[in-house]
Amino acid sequence: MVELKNVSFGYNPNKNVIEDLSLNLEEGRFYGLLGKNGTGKTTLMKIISGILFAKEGYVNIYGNNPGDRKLETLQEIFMMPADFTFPKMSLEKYVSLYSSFYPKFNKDILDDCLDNFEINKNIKSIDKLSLGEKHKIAVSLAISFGTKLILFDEAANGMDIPTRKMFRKMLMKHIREDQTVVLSTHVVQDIENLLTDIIVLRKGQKTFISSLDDIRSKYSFGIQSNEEGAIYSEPCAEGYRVICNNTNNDDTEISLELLFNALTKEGGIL
Amino acid sequence: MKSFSLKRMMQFSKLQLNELFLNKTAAEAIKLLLLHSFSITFISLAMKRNGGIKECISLIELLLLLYSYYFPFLNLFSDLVTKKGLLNKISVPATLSEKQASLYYSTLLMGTMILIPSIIISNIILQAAIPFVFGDEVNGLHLIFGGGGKGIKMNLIAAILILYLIILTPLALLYRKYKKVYFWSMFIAFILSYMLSIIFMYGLITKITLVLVTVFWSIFAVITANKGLRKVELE
Repeated sequence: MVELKNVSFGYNPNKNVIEDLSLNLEEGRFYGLLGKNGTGKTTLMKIISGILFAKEGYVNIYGNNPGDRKLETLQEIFMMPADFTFPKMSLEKYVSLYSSFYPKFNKDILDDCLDNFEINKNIKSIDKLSLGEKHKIAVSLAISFGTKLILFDEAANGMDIPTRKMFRKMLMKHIREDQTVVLSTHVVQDIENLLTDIIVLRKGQKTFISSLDDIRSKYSFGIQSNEEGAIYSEPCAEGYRVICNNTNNDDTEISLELLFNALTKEGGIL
Repeated sequence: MKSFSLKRMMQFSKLQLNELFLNKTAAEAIKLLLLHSFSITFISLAMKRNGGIKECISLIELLLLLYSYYFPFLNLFSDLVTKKGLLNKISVPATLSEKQASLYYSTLLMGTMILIPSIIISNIILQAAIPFVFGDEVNGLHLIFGGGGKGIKMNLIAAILILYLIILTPLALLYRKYKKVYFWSMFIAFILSYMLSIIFMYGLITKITLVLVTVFWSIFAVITANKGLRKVELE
């Protein structure tokens, strides 16, 4: 279990990026970490993975503070950063050097991911690959290392549409019941069909955390010709895209984009 | 779970050495070694030409030792504490003690791998340069690390200087992680301790005293560096 309690963090002593944040991440769930630029998505991931230390509050990752960087904690966390470089070496060498540190590394999963992403396993210099190809390799490694917590920071950057679909497919196929996945993005369409929960970081407002099942039971999403009964609406070609209270227990499809807009609008309606 | 595993330490060392040094082609490695040896030999010849061949060789020996061991150490250390690559080294699943031990082990290994060919190349350059630089003043074979310099005493002092630099560097680079008073007391104590090697050069203290003080400070500094490394954040 991953638990954060009243966590605050700021790069500048007088200004916190993250303020009094509390959340629990459960096993077997896919969390979408959403938020506008500068709301602290990457910072939060760095705190969870122990790269940064919370200035206030308490962080507990499977019984340990990630900042202590205990071996058993490091073996259970993998964070894929948005920007990274690969050293000058072959893919095979890179995999052999890093995989030896992860006891749950699964070579078959790695091969399956690389095959599906159409990555040649005999690449001689991974440093010379394009951004999209580097992300495909990083995603494959993240999935195959088998850590209990996987954090993807803007993982879909540089990926084309078919690759994004494959990314979702590989996650659905290989993530185990005891693993937790957190995906941060500011392009919500990337991950819409994958998530079980969402975390929305908002500047100056309380963080919104909810399972999509809860959202579905509380709210209905649709298009109407007017704004009647809507708790949030946006004009569109057909009239209005609306969020209403789900009084009739309708099972509507959640529009993450609309929900995100509703949550991050000045004053935050939900 | 074991807090120190030799196997994991070696794996971490292999990881860093492969990423930083061993991924070079043979041609690139030879070029770097030639540049390293040429620059040290020529700088020493230019600086100490008037001091005689012994002074020259002594300076070459000092610089070869310093650059062969200190620069790999700096590379390895900065790789450990900076945000770099898909997985930062500080986040690689190995204990901090293993990472720190690997740092010193990799420095020793890489430094020696640089030093040995550099001594050979520098010796060749020196023998070729002696007639042009010293003319008829110098005859015969004068070897770097072959008795041509000021002897083992100077080499011991050079080795201690490098050891002090290697153990002081993490403290200096992580100075924000320590209380100011603690950091400056450590720093001053180190400078004073290093003075001992100069005093030793003039025969005022024994070799045993020098070695004991050096060992004491080395252990103390390794523990202090470990404390600093625990507080490293990659901002």
